Amino acid sequence: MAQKRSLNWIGYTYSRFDRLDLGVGLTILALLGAILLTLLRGDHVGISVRRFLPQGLASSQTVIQIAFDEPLDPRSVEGKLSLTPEAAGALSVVGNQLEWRPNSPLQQGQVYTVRLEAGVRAQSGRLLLEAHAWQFRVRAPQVVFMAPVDQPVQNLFLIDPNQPDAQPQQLTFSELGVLSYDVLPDGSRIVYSELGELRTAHLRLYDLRTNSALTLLECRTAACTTPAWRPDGNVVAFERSELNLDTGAGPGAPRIWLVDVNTGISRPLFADNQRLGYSPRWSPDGAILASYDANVGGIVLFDFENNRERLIRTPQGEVGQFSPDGRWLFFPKIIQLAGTTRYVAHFVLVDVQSELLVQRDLIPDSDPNNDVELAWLPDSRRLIATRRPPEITTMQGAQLHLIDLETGAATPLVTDSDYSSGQVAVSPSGEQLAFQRFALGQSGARPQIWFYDLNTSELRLLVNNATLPRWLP
Amino acid sequence: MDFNTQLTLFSTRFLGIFIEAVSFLLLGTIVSGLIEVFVRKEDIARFMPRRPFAAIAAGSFLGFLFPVCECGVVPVTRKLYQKGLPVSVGVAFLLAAPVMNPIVFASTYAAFGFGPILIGRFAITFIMAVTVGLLFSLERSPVKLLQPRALMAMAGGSGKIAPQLDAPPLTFGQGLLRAARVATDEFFDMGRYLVMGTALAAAMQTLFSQEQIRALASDPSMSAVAMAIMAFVLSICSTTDAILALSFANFGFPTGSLLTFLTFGPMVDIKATLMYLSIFKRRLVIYLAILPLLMSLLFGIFINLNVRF
Repeated sequence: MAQKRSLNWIGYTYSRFDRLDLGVGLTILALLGAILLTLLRGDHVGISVRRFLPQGLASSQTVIQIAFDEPLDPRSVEGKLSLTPEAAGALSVVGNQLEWRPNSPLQQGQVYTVRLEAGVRAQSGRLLLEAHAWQFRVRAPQVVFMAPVDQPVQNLFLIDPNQPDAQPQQLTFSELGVLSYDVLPDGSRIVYSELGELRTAHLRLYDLRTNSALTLLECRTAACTTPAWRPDGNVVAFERSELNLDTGAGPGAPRIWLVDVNTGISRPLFADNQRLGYSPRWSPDGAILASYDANVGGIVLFDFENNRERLIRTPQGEVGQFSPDGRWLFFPKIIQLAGTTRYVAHFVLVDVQSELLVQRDLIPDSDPNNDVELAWLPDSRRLIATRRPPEITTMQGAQLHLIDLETGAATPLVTDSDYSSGQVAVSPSGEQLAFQRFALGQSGARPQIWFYDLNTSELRLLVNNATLPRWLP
Repeated sequence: MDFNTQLTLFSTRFLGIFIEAVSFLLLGTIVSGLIEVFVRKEDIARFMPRRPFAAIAAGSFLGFLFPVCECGVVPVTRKLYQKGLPVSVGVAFLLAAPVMNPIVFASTYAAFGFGPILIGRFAITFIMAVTVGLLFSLERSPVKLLQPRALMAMAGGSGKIAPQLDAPPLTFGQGLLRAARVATDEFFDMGRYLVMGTALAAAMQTLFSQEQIRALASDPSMSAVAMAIMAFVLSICSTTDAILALSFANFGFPTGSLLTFLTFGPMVDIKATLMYLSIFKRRLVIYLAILPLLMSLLFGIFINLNVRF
């Protein structure tokens, strides 16, 4: 009876649904089964590495970046990244990118193997199914500079200071010239201000990993100059002066602006467009931006963590540099030596981590030395001063001295009264200097870039007719 | 979002879809008119391969002869049916032509270059169209599959085969005039489906949050489902969908899911589905939606989970 009922049902079904219906029905079932089977077999691909840096040669400060096709779960990367030979660093995850920053410069000439173990998990739960490994070699630091000084148009050049016969390599080929530049602390990119038509100036990026340049910000009606990298490489602060091309009123006073390197979107630091500013300087952690505001007569410290401003009153109009540990910022003051008619410059250190911005003099007011410039060594406990000792006149050149922060004791480094030195740049290791020298009393002399080794006292000419040296880590 | 904003969004989206689609519908109806006048039943019979698989495979390549998108392909298919094209071959053409034509090849190449997306899009579309075409070949009687209007026009839409009278031969000018009349009729006949489909698609886009769909980008299986839904709702013409797919790629949608979007969308979307009702009986339209959906999902999910690019 049941068998007969079953046959009737099949017959009914068959009469109601023709061959096409049955074919489609079976196909749908087969497709659903295939989809289910595919899902049950699981993920055989996982997340993929889309990009990884550095490759080939890298700076000693290089940041290791691994970009995936999906946002990562930060907890899953702990203990998964290793360097051989070992190096200490900080691991972080932002979106789909993993970053590792070395705590101290990597060893020059060393080949490092980076290995990311399988098991890194995306926020979706997908895993990195295979370990990812590659190698890079750490190159020696280079020196970037602007040249030729005696021509109206200067460009950026690069030279290896550790190879005596090295020839400069031209990086930029601007037709109207480069005005100013800054090197990213990890040595991967240079931001520079390039002169445009009608005295405009645009910001451009030079990527040393790809040896290519691109426009970061086109300033059609303004001169955008003096760029300064935020140390994380995501933001550049710069001076923007409106040229008032339509009114013919002449260039306006500069304001501090910021441009996001990732999006190219720029904005003024202060919403009030009457706020002036120049000489932007970032603190090493990127939390504070210092700039000089002539309206208020001081250095403005803008804290991005709480959008708070603090003011260091100084009439000199100069912003110094933050110490590498982020505690100090120096700026100059002019004093009259007691009992004389002589005026000299000394430097004041401001403890920016103190609430009241406690200040201290680098050397006592009674010290007759005239300090022209300062540059920090990486330990934040010593500085290189470009100093005119009291026995030489202002017509004679400034010389290099090593200053101990605690004692104020000065050790002469490079002293030659036939030359005036300045624009000191300290290498990432703190063992070498690149600086500008100018031969006094020589007709036809041009500024030169010199190299000095603090350990061996080796002093060597790097390049003639050049200016503004900076170390490329 | 208030009502006025929603209404503005709806109007903008409606016009966006309609203006994009109506030009292709016009092109399709013109081709349809030209087929009516200048293509004879004997021509179809002569050029069509005898064996079913070969005929269906050939049908899926007809898009290179009639480069139309999913709006234009419907009137062309309907006219080809009236000229005696086998239903299964027409189905393969209907599903494949919006992708397998030179315009879409160029736009996909422009967006993704020569690589897995371009190759995958054409290969998967071919497989899907041939598979559905073969399934439809199980039913030989067009009467059971097609709407009466899509059958022999001479039979007055009854679906019965009526004797064709020998019409006096037309001059070229008369032929063009007649093709224009046929195209006009077709345009207005199909146009109402386009308007309804476009309105529905615009409404769905207005009420449906694309952000929620995008949030599924990283899941290998759900992203394929999300892309299928997007393809159905957005109703983007196949000639331009590759550019949109490129933006989805930037959101992190994996290759398999993009292929789901690029193969399912041209075959089945809101407006095309409504237009299919002018050719096929309702049950067949459901088949024509479900089969490509499942096949494109299978390909998309399988690729996401098993193929590393």
